[in-house]
Amino acid sequence: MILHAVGVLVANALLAGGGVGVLMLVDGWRRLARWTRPGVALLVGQGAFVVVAPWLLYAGLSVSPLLVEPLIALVLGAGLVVHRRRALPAEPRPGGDGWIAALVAGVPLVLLGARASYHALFQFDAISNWVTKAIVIWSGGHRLTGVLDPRFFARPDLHPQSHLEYPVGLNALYAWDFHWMGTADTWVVHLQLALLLAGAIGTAWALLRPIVPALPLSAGLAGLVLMPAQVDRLLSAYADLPLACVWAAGAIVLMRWRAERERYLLALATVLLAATVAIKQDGGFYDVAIYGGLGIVLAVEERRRLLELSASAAIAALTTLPWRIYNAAHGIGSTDIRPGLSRMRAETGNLRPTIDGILHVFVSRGTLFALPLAVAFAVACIVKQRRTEAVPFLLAASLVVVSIVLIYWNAAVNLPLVLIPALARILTGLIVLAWLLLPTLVYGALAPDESSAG
Amino acid sequence: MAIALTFLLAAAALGLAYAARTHRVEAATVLIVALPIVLFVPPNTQRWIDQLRRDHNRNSHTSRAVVPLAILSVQNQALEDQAALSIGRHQTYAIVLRGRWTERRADTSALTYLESWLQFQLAPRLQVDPDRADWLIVLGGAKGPLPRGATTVYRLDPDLLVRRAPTT
Repeated sequence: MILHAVGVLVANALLAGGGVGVLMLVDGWRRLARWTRPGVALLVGQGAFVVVAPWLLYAGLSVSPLLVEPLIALVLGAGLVVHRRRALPAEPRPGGDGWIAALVAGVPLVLLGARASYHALFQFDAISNWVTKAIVIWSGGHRLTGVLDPRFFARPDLHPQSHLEYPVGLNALYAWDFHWMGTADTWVVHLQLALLLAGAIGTAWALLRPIVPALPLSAGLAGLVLMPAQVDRLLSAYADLPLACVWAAGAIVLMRWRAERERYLLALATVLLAATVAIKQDGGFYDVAIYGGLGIVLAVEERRRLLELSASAAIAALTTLPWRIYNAAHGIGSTDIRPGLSRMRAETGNLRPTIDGILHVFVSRGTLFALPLAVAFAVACIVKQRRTEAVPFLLAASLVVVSIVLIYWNAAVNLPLVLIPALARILTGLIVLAWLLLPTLVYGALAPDESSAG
Repeated sequence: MAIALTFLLAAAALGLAYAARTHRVEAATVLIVALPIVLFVPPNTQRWIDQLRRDHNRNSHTSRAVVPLAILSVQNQALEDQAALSIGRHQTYAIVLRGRWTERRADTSALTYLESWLQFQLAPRLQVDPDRADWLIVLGGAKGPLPRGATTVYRLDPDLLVRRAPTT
């Protein structure tokens, strides 16, 4: 087990190497404080892999180290060359006191990682969807080619529980781990989720530390590691926590891009939000919510920057093209959602239980009341004219809720048996974002007027 | 988790004491953020310890997933083990239904789960159409006639595992 865990750590260290390359390419490396770089590099590396690996698979290639390592070396090499040619002095953001976060959030995170490495896979969807496909990707085909075997991936009739219509980004990430474990250890694979959480926490620290003091931010990040709902999601090995990690981090990066006007932040947000939709198609409405929320803000305040935001959204959407083409070519689709006015008229009875279910999740103790607290302090921030994070957060949260209500309204799946119990999972992204932003919003609401916080 | 929690609480208390002396807003922020953690995380520690104990009691060396409740009564461990042993990693298999699985009252939900479970247990071996498969897993077929072209047969009551002669 220990060797397998080391394999997962090596696999992620290599991805972090790719993340360093991406950071250098977009000129983010010199802008980050030295000790915040590893966290951001890790998440960006994981995100970039989740976006690019499916392209390799759809192109008939594999995600074996033989193929991926040279690609990582290429990105890192290109990043180094570009970074050296720029020869600009470092302009690091505040955040060098990362040892505080490392101490407060790092200890529970290490324990959670150890716990995650020693956990039996038990959720049926995780087994049939996420891990079975990962094993086929890891071990199928030849060393370099033929991994996305159409006898499996184009036969939804033979694999009805495997959700072949889903994107394969997370499956590819697990397959990458299996390559480095040398086997498909379904216990240790949970460690990957803890490492995604670590990346999200590191990124949140790097981005938010300039506007929030170290102690409250550290307490918030540690709280996310210990949040019961988050721990349950992690140990279930569903895709909702990975999606939440990359989306929430991407949303924070996008909000900071709006405040700081740094293009490298927009580039990083694009990578992370593209990764969101490469993990699970739910990422689609999450991305629409954050791009839409920020788009509304920009449309009111800075229309000129809408073009940049639209370009980022378009790139994130375009990255899903190979997946959509593959599914269309093989006639793979889902009939779970059948939108239509007649359906909506007929199914108005779905609205009340959906809204009740959403509210129930928001006020559940397992989420530490993240959303009600964040909303309350966001409103307080707006009252105090500190809108940078508060307004996009409230807009994005509203859009996520509206999207879920609309999807459930038009769903052709059993509402009380399947959809309502799934709400706790589906809302994970919003809850993680709310909790990551909570220290910023509280500090912004409480800080005296002369402070530049918020 | 309990250790982490104790550590976190101690760190929060120390931090709060320090911050309260120097920065009131900072201290208040820590307090507001830490309050739900202190209130709602500790009640979960016993559940987490129980989960860990359950995992520890399972055999971690096999790295096996937990058999879903939906198939506990219909799962055939001997069949899974024999299939994993006999079917080559790049060979294919098909699932054929006989006996109780073809009856009108067959539990189709359990069958769907069972098929997915077999796909997981046997991955990366692929399930294909019966006419193209190297092996047949005949669920409920132990007492019926053998499929045509069978070269090797394992009777793993109530199921059959059958190697077929390669088709030309």
